[in-house]
Amino acid sequence: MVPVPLPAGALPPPRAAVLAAAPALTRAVGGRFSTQDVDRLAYARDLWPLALLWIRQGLTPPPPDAVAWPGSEAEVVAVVRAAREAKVALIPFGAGSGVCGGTWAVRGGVAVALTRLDDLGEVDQDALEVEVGAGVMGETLERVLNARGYTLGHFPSSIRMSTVGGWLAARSAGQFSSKYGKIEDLVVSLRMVSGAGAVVETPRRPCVGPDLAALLIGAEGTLGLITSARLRIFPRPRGRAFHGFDFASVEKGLEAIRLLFREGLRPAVVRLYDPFDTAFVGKHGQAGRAARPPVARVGPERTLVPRALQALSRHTLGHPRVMNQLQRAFTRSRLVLMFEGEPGRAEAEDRAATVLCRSLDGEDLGPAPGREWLEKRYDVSFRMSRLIEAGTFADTMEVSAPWERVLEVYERVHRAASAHAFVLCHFSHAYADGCSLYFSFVGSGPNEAAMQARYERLWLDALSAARQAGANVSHHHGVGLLKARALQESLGEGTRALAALKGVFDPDGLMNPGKLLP
Amino acid sequence: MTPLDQALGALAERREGVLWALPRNERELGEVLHIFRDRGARLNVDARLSREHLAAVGAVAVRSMTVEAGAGAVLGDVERALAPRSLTLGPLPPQAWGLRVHEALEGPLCGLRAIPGGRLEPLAARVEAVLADGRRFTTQEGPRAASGPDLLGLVLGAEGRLALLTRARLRALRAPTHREVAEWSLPGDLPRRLRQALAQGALPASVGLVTRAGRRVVQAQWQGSEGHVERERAVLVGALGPPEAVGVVPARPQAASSPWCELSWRELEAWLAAGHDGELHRLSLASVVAVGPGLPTAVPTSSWSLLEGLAVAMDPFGALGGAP
Repeated sequence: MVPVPLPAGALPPPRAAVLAAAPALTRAVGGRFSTQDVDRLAYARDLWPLALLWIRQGLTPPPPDAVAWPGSEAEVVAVVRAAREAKVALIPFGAGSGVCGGTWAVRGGVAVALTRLDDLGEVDQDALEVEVGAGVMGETLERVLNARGYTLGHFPSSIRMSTVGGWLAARSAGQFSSKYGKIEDLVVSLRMVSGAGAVVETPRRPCVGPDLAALLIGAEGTLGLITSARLRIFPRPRGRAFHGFDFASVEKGLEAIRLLFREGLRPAVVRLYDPFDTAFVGKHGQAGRAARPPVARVGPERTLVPRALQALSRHTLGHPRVMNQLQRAFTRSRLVLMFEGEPGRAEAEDRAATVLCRSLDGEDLGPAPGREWLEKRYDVSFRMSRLIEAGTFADTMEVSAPWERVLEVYERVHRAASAHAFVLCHFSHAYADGCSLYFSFVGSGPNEAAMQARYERLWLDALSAARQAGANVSHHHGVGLLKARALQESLGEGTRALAALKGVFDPDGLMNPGKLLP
Repeated sequence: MTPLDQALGALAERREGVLWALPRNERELGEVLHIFRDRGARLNVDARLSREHLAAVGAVAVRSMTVEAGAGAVLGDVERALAPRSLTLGPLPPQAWGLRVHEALEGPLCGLRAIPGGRLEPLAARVEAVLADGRRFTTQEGPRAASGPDLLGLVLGAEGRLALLTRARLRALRAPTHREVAEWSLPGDLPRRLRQALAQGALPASVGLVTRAGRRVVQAQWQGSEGHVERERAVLVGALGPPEAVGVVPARPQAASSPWCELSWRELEAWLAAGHDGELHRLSLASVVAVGPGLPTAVPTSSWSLLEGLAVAMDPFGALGGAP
């Protein structure tokens, strides 16, 4: 995979096969088809931080040859059939907020933007279900459901810029997954146009045979294009109970979570921050000043401040071992809990959790940390721009592990990543048998090329350490390009099963090539 | 002796005229499959496969509440291994306890268990399985993953036709210290009320439907710690109303050999309307497992029509029997 220099005013021309298929593809989507550079560039990348590092070097991920915007499942079928005819690759594209390079057109082809599949059906109040087009944005869906007294219970931090189809393609998790489950738990059935051009609808329970939905969800566009899904919904909770506790150590905090789930409690939110995150980053209740965009800045804020921040970053984050050592001065670990449901139930669960946390010497902080977390839970996404401006790279790695392995995964990843970046971690998405670890990495370097080299080394070492300690490759961000090699190594002979699935649903190998399988 | 008998040799024996392959480990299982491919033989047609020798129950992982079990282990035996650690596989339909692990996971119960929130969760956190060509694979580590299609889907409910389970890490729960049973007159909208309770996080271990002196009653049983039982009671009372009796003796449970069926909630409504006594297990917002007489006999929807091609792709020689 080689980055493509961006010549002034032009991208490499679209491949001949795509240009030849352009008339048929244009007809398939009623004219909404483009080979213009501006459109190709817009769909050239997702939010994988590697792309930001490239862009800062004047490079771009390889762009698709064209973009198509189907407006219905029938048009999606037509696109697939035309693509098969012309042997042109197709890359499903939702809102583009993935962080693993899952939508990069590594072998060219047509980006199929699915945001126009945005039908939202009526809520079936009896069955507690709703039919949703793959292009519906998460926040829109939740808002519509709320207005009718329901919730999906699925709140990824990308909810304002991610689609239902994207969630299903990546097996996403929301912040309330400990209560409502991940996206695959919310699927009653789904529809997909396979790479063979057939419409596949997964049967709902009760059903004889394997769970087809389980084999299609998480396929990251390599088997077909998801067009819609029937999702389970819940009555909007009428009660919430918040709580925060500080523990003397990460181990104590993890033990509290494990025992909560063992007791049968199911907080909607359970987040344990490691010591540095607790001491500085997780400081709730401090209203941040909104960042002024660069064009609005004047005087020192426009020039001197960014340069100073960059110099500071390079001298601190450029030497992450020292920064990571400083973390050892902090030990306390903060747990944020939120229960929701019927008022009495939420409070009863909160009381039970309080007894348990206090029994582990948790310092009771009352409801404030939980409330403040809820208020500001999406803000972190918007702090990234400041880090990037300060000449750093930032990324996150999420894995999960059984309880026996969680602490070891934390320590080994910390050790492996510390040489390359400043490391933070929080533990969330908990289950009776384990939890997810969410690492944040912030690093710097003397120049962009050095930063990229450091970034790549970081991921190699951190993900390898996680797997060796007993974690998996991803809990909810998916695989994309970033973790493809690690997935193949971890699956071993299981890749034959993936290949068989691919052979059945995408016999021509046109669907999002180069992803999941080599 | 047929050529297949001869080829399998010590790997098989005849029981009541039926040829059974009896591998003692994964390697021998691979050999069996190799012989089948070589001879063009098919499982469940030319011979049956027993995994009774793959029955080891491993150490219990207390922190994650999981236990390793071979495909041939009987769930009742796994439960006995969990008991000293105050753990349980949980409330399962009565039919489940006599099943071997592979039967519970690969068969019609699909290895699923109801969990709070009205959801179904695989009983297995991780599985090891053998493909038709004898190669082995293991599903992803960790409680949940986002690493491509869930290969557990090749095992659960697949009747061993896509891959053969050899070992599973099964999820357990804390063994209950308290149980409660309460009884209500059967409300006309019982399914709606039960779904309401499930959506609010309650999870009855079972629900019994009993006719007593011409009066139909519903009994719900729930269990857990003392605090958990109290919280559950509050939700069930909220959904079903104040019970007419608490702490009643539960009705005699349905026998493990009683007919059973997974029903949609619509089908459950019809079954209730027909006045049948029975039990409901594994209650989830998707479906329930009903045990008792008068259950529907129509074959439910099958995913095999969409997965025939996959069965062929994974097993071109048809050794695993092909899609039904």
